[in-house]
Amino acid sequence: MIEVTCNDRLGKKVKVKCEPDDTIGDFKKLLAAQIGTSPEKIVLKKWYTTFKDHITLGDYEIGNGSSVELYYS
Amino acid sequence: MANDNVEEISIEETNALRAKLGLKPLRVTAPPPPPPTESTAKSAAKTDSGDGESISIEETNRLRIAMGLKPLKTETTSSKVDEDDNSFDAQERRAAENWKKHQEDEERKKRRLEIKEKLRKGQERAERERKLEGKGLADESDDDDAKAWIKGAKKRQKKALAQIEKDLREREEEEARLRKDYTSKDLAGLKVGHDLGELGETIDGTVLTLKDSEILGGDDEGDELENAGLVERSKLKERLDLKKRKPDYNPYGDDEDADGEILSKYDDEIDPNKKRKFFVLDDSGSMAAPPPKSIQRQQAISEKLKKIPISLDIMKPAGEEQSDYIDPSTIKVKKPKKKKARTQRRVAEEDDDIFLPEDVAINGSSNAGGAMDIDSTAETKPKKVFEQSFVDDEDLSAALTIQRRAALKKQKALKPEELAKKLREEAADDMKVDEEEAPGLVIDETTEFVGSLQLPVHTERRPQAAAVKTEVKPEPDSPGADSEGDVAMGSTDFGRSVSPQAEVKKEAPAEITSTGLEEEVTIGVGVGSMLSMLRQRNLVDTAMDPESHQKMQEKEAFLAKQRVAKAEADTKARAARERDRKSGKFDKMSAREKEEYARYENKMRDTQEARESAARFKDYKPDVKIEHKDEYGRTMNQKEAFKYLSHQFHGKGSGKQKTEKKLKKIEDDKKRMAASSLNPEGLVGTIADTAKKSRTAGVRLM
Repeated sequence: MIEVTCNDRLGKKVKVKCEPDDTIGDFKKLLAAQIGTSPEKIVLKKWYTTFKDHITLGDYEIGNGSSVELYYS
Repeated sequence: MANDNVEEISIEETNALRAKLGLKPLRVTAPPPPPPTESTAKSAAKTDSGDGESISIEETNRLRIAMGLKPLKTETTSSKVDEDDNSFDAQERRAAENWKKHQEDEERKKRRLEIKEKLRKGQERAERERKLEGKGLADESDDDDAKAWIKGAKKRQKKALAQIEKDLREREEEEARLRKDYTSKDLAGLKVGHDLGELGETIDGTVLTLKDSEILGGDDEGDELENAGLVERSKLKERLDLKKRKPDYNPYGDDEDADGEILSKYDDEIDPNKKRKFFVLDDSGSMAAPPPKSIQRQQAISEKLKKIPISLDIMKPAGEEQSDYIDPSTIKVKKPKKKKARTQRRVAEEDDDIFLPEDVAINGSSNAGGAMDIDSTAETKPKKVFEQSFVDDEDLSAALTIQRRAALKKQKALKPEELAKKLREEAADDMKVDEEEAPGLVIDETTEFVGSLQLPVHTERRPQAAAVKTEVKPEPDSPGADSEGDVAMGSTDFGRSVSPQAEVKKEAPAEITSTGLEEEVTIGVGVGSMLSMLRQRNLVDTAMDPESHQKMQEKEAFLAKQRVAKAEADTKARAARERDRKSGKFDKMSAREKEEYARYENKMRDTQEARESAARFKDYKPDVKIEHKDEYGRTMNQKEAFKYLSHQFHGKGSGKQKTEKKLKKIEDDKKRMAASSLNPEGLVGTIADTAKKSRTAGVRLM
């Protein structure tokens, strides 16, 4: 289990517990459930890299304690 | 702290969420953040998570399982590593293990290599440092006996000699094997890419080299020899031939290399080697059988013979003997003798005697001679022989034939000298065969034209006598002059030796002569005939109106009168002076008075004369004709005169080109005059002139 911090810099910072072999899509669903938005509206980025839904967190080397930028489309 | 407002849910909640989403529950590795509180209480977990929404792992797992997700992994589960675990952690772990194993392998390999290297180094060093074995130079040898050493030395020497000999023999053998004798036998069957004739008489000294051939292509042909110089020469010749652009159209088709091919000039030379000649060397290094020597030579000779054109037009080739005409410079005009008619006749008879049999003989001699004979009679180009006058056509033709024959003989004798030398080797019959082959008959436009012109030749006059006449200009006021023409005229009663001129005279009234050309006017005695000749030749203006003639007569009369009057006046004055002297008038006068008197008399005479002349000039009508002459003495017409004056006035002549043109015109005029006055044939006879005079396009020939 890892905990990933998502920050949208608008006053919301969420820690999400997940697995490294979860896909970004799954992660988005988790995140969406946690913050109460629909997962389709969530865009995750790290700098200028937008994470794609079908790739796992582990592949993006998102580990325990990493933070991800959270945007809303 | 930093995570004041960090929203976070507990693992349990997360797991529930995950379960709802269809995800496997989180794997909690011995609840990481709170390992110590892991087993103590589920509430501890709740307190630990910031928002207190975390649930215990067991719960989460249960939840997860209930939701269909796989349970979170805990330390307990991860402890027993099942191989078929495909989870991320397991993979990671395996990867790490692999990595470690790989590293270890590498390490081990490296170490082994190092050890090997060390070993090798050690061995090498041992090798290096090993002591050299055997005897040194300074070491004592086994045979310390001098005698033994000498014996050994002898043996050694023998051995060395044998070795050297053997080496030498071996080397020689090797060389011999490599350098097999290359004799003429090796040349057998080699092709030489030249005609035997090309090599010529220098055949002994020529150096033949192997010809370049294609590496891939030349499969059927073996090696070929050639002489570089000859090849070069033939190439050059070919090039020059190409440069010499031959006329495409050959109306008679008598080109020898035409071969009857159609439009052969467009033919591509597909295989240049096909046409090339060659011969093959045999065992002895000479030419082999294919073209036997004798036959080849024979062929060459016959070819040469064929190539000598025996043209029937004998007039053309150079050489004085050949010409039917004698060079004008060599002509000596004999002073005519008194008894010319007689001698002439005799000569003619003699000529008959001499020439006729010869003629027969010639006709019998060979085909070529016969053809020649025919030709010579066909074209009766007149011959000027002054000593003899040929009365008959037969005589003439016979004489001509002899002359030509002599010329031909001379020509022939010159050329085939070396040819004959070759022929001597051949059998006589070959020669005969060659000679009997018909030579080419050359008929060109001129001969054809002449042939058609002279068809009714035997009934015709011969222009020769006339020609003679114009050449020998008779003095008009010496009636006794017996030039050729005159004699002929006089001797009309002689049956046989009737001069052709006389015949002409008889025929003269015919309007159109047999040649279609105008008859020539002979110059008889006096200026009149000369004038008429000149007039006929357009050299003198024929348009003389009677009025001008009358004027001229008047003028002449006037001048005569003037002369007479003057003479009369002179005599009168002289008579007067004489009278005065005789009368003794002067005796009483002083010198001065005498002078006075003479002056007075002169004056009186002058006035008298003037009065008379005035009377004479009363009916004088001067015929004014302004004539301008240029620097060459030619009369200029109005236009030319104007130009000339203009140039004089402005001090500037016409340009170079115009001047040249003018000069050329003058030259042409002069030439024309000279030609028509001096040419014995007289241009009167030319077709062009006649046509011009009669103002028709052509001349009717009969």
